[in-house]
Amino acid sequence: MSARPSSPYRYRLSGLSVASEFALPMRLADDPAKAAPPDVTIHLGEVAESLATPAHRGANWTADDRSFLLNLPQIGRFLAEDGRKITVCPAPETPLDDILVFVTGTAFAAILYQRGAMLLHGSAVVREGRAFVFCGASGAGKSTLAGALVRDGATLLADDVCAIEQPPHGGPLVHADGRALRLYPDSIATIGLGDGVGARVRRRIEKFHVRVGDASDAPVAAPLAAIYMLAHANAAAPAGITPFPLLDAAQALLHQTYRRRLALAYSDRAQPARRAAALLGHVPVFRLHRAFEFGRLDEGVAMLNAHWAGLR
Amino acid sequence: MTDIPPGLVWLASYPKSGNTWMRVLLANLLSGADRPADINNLSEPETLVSRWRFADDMLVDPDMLDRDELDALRPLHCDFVAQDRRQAFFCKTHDRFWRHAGEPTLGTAARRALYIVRDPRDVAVSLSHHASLSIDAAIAQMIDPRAHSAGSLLLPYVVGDWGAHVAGWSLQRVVPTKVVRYEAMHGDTPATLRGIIDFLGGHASDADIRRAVDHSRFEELQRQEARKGFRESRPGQARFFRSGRVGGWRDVLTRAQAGVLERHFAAVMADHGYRIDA
Repeated sequence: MSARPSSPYRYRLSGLSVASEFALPMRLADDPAKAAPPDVTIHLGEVAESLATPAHRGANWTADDRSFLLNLPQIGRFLAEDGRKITVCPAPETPLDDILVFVTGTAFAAILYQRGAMLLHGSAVVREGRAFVFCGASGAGKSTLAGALVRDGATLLADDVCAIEQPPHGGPLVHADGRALRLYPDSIATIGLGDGVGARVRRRIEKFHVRVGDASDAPVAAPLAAIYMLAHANAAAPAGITPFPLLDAAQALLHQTYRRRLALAYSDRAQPARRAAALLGHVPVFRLHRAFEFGRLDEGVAMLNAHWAGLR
Repeated sequence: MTDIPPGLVWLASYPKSGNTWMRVLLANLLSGADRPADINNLSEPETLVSRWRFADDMLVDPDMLDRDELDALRPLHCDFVAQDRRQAFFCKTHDRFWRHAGEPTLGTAARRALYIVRDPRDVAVSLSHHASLSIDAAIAQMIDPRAHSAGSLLLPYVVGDWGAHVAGWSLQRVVPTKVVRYEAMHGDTPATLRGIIDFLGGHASDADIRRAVDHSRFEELQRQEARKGFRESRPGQARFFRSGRVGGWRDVLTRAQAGVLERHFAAVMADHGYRIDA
């Protein structure tokens, strides 16, 4: 199947070739002349409020064996089908560019899970050929830490979604999801990334796409060397890097699975528990407790540099 | 064995009113164990005010939503979870009951709510210690109708002023609610707990209640915090479980400071039995 003329925009996203009817800002563009036939196509179209006979549901989503439908009132509806096709239906009066983050986030994650992927909710950087992943909830400071590490000489691999590939031979790989971070102005100022600031992520959100590095100098995938679970240092857990006991590490990987309920909805293919166990056979998982003040960002970077030197 | 019917129960309060102590009491009651519950592992680690939980259930990150969009999705989230529960789920919140007239912040499907109210003059003292504020700054926050939270782990929420918070929860008729005075918890903890269990339609023996109360004594909470810290304390906070006193404000607030709260909240204070010295 070849890209239809109606899908002129071509990208590489989390290891897949994508053809889209509309532009996806700050994603890794693919040359249409050289691009492989698309794995996934993205279109505008009508989307119902919910699936007719869902096997899984949440307050605002439904899923069955083939399809996933996300319904965000006043934002739009998103349908991901068969691991191949995303249909986007903006709510009335809602500009398309204001809702693309849900296309490249949740809808694309559904596509990947329908194809049996493993996704962690984290950002990733590459240092001397090794990929390091930082997991944490929304607000944990994943992107800010990744930005600080890039300032320190690392290369950005992924900002929010880390697709982990486990080849039959050799160790696991992390796939790139772009060359941009999504950051708040205070983070941008603290790290000093003002040069790369692009558009707002959404019109009424004070978060910006920030380009760090360019597509030409960076890998599209890198071998995964370690995973860090970010947490705030607190009275019961002082700053530092500590290894996870194995059982806790498996639980933490599930806890930080990107859109965990989607992985569970497609668990026949995605097999999140088995994947997590297999990953732990190759990759160590650590807790990274750190002070959360911006002024102490460098402490986290220093802690990690020291840790990586010892991970040989 | 303590038994509470399934469903979502809000543990609601203005901050620094005894919410954590109530959670400790309920955790000890439900555990039925012969040793005190761990203050760092009290209940479901992820409540309905946690960013992680919202993203996990709703499949969108809260920081990708503006306030109106988030406010529109939260009731859907809470109601979905409330209708989905097969056991009792006590969920802490400092949210106001009403977002706007006729729009409950947290939906309508919770089975019950416990609203803990504490003398606002004691709240001011506790808040100043907890948030490292002067007494005057704490009072200014309590009378600010636009006061709101700013935490990176919890969803952003509006607290509003103390009086509207108390009135909003205690006067609404959407979710059956029992108002529990912090002072009553102090004065007769077993009787207060018994009243709560009856209100929830649960069962607990007198021995269960006695043990839960004993395992939740303030000295026990302080002992655990001194030994292992408390994960909910604020960075730089010396102690979360500081004094827990009733009426301590008399030794701390000036007459003028107490007067600010009394003038702002006279009617609500009177409704809940907080006397204003003539």
